[in-house]
Amino acid sequence: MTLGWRLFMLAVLLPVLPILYVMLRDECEPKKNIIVGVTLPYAAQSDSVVRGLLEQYKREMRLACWAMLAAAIPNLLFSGFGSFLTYWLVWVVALCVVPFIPYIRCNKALRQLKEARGWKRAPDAPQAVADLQAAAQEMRWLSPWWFLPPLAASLAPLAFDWTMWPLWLADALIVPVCWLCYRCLYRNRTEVVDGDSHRTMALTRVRRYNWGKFWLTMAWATGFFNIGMWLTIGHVWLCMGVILLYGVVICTEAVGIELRVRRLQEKLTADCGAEYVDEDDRWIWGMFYYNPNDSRMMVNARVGINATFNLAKRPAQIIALFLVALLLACPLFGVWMMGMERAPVELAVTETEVTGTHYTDQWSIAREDIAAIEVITDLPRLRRVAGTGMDSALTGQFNGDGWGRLTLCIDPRQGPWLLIEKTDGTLFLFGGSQEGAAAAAAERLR
Amino acid sequence: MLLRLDFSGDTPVYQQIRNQIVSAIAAGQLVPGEKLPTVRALAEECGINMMTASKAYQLLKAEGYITTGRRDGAVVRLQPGDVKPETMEGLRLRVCELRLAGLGRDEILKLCGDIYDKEVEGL
Repeated sequence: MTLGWRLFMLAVLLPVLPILYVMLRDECEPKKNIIVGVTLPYAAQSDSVVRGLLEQYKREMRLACWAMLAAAIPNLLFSGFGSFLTYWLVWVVALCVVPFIPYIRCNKALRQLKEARGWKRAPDAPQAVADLQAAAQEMRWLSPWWFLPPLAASLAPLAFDWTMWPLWLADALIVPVCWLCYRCLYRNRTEVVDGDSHRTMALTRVRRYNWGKFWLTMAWATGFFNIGMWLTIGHVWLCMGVILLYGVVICTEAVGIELRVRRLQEKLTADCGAEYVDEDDRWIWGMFYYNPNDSRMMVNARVGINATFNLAKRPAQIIALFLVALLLACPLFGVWMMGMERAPVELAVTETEVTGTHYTDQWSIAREDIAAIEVITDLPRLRRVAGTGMDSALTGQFNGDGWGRLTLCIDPRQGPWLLIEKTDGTLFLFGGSQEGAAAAAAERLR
Repeated sequence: MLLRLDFSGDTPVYQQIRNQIVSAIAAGQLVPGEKLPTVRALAEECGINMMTASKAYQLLKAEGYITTGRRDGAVVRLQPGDVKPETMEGLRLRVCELRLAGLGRDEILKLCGDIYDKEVEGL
């Protein structure tokens, strides 16, 4: 893996860190009377002890983020793709834990202070609070027609380039997924802060409007992305630029909308009176919702636009456990890639068949199905449709310029390669990691 | 109008919803003709089962406090019905209980007046 690629990956992944920092730092500003996951009365928000705890939280979080930044740099030293990826995935797992430690510490300290000062407003008995007038305000869903133009745009490459259909179809599926997420993931609960129904309605409208805006923007960005990919598919760096641009647009929009909603929540609830809703007892560390009396599996996040799981529900527990297991298992994928990277490509000829093998993949062709063979010394320009593309191995489905669809199982560093045409016209390109493997196989086949 | 449901009490949740809506109508917090959330929205709002929300609305409808229609959903009724025999029976029992608790006529009437001022006039 070249240094250019490693720097590119660093540039793609590292912005997650400042985004996380901005989001966590923003928790210090009161929104819906909530500061770092703790509901506090208006007077308490300017209390000197509270401000001191928040300053300490900011310091600790800055330190955690600098530590994560420093931990990312050594990854540039790994030249192998597998080891590079493993390091990144371990870093991502650490990123999901380390910056949140100061948050949890601050949340606990604020809760203790709240108890000690008698700021707690939540009753001892479990309660649900609902604003009937605000709840009667119906959600106006965006028409599905708004999602059709981006769907048509993302399907357009299929009309011009059928050879890469799995890629275009997979990308185009993102648009209906956006619509499904828009309709199914939204938790239609009003944003009750106090007894002021107009305030609740305004906050609810802010969330609803921005929820639709995010998913619609995502759908349209996907439409343009697919067209961009189709136009640049033959040029690696241009194609990477389009992917990068797509990522930047989505991230900017997501972060922008989240911050915009938070700012409005901050403004609209800046003058909350003495009567306000306090649901702190249902939030573990201010971030995990646990309420056995709530029948919902998903609820709105306390601030911003997101949704989260009710961890008191069995399906939510299973999904959360699965997600945690998936996150922790991510580095194993990197280890698996390391094994794949180091595994040699093998080419074997027996009395009955020709077999190309790489790691867990294998392709066999019966000798009676072979129509023609040819040993080639130059590879055509290849575009991957589905499979593995590494410095040490190219396996799976590829499109070769002037050759059409090919099934590859080769080590691109070690030529020549054996081109096999089957009686049904399909093409295979085999080659081994050992020198002269293709020539020896061709000799045996002849 | 804020609905507060207590999940640890003895009163069933649907009954709490019914009681609080009746109190809010009496206090003028919910006015006749005002739309209430749909059964689904109410369930989502309170985090309760749809059947519980539906049961509360059925009770309110049967008692004449709301009307429900396919197009408009639940609406606070313009003219609630007459005082029902079971309400009168309940009132009679409560007055008897207060008398047995040692309260006299004037004290009971003052208590009723205070409750009226608090719940209806909002004083």
